[in-house]
Amino acid sequence: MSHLEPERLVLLALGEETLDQHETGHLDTCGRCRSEMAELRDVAGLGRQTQRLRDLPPPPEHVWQRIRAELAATDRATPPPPVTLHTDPPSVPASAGVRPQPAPTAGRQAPRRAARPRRHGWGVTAAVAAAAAVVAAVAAAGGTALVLRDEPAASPAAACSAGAPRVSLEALPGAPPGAGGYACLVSVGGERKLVVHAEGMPAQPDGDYEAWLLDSTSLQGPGLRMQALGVMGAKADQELTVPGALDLSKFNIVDISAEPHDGDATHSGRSLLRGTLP
Amino acid sequence: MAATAVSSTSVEHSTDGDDGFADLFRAGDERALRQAYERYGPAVFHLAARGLASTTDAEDVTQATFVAAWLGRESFDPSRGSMLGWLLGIARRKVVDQIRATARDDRITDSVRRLAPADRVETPPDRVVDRLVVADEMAQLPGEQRRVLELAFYDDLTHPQIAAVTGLPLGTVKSHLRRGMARLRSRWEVDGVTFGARAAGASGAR
Repeated sequence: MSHLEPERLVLLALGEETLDQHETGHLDTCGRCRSEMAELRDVAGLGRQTQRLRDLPPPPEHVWQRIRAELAATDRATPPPPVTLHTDPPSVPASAGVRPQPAPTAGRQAPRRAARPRRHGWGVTAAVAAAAAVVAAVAAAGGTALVLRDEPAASPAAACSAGAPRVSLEALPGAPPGAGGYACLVSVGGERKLVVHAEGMPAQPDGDYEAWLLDSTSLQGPGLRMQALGVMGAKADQELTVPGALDLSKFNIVDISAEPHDGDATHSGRSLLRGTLP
Repeated sequence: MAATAVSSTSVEHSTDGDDGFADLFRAGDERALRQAYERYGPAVFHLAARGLASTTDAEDVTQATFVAAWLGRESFDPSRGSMLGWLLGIARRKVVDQIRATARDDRITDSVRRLAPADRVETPPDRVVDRLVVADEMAQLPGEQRRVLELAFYDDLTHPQIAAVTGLPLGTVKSHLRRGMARLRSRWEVDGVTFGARAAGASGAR
């Protein structure tokens, strides 16, 4: 006997007709028709169970609010923009640049374990910013626009002034090809700021870049000391506040690291750029 | 009249129905996230509610699913299955995670009366996924075909009865049944294999 006709199989699977003797005999010997039949019966069974799935109630509205708030807080609703959006080379004459120190390797071995004097000020700022973003997202609930990024308040364009010596930031092994930049110290309203200009750092889907100052006197010792300055934003030039008490004669190594969004606030151990302040 | 003759064998297959907005979603257009939520949020929430005892947990899983989907949107591959199937695959894993977390908390807080994790699952999430995917495909069938299947599934009518109710020729009814069933089956197989229980180690966002 030949295989069962497709339409016949469907009617049988729907249960509106029954197998005759020949068909039963065929199914006993034909694995193909048997599995066709079994699958169609499965589909018919699933189809019958779909009736009450047609008008499912939506989740409560606050679920959507929470989704927006969580995305705003994680600040990752849109892919992180590149650290630098333009590619103009540093316009500094070569003679004005500070000769970069060789990348200190000792400090790269166990920075995570050693990192201690940590980001009190910055952490608080970040928490406040995240909270503000949540509030903003919830407040905007009625509108169509999502508030998914907490943009920092407009600040004067950071730049290294003519008088501020620039230290070039050199790519370490593992940095993206073409990565580099420079940094300088400036004083703004009596506060010391580190201006960082980084280039060739593509957006990371699951992380940020963060700026640190490393204590060069601790490089050879058992514990590397470092100060987090903050996450690098989307602008070409970042102005990061240096804590007032920080001794820049010791904390003079500028370090840009890749930080995954893993909830671990300590240095990831993945340094990409380094330079040493004069 | 020849111009109205349409090949009735074409357009047999389309698992997406998300078309344009799936692309927008992958590209990071936030409006597409809202669209995905409005369209598939009910199914995700249903899956979560069926798998979890507490409504709060189901809401949490729904939230976690859409957050994970958005953050991992680049891993959505429309060629491997539908967006609904992908979302339900994420939700299914979140449900399992939630069950495990609950079981773990129970062990910690109440090691005496704890339930084995399996006892807490009231409906295997995979069967719910299958049903939701098939329901979604049903909703996307051409109107007449869908009507015929609904009469067969929900009202348990035979094909002569369906022909009588709808006024369609018997052959057309049988053809609708066969094509409609084929489409449901192929959607079920695509999404089930890719995102369901049969997808061992399915990739994508978690």
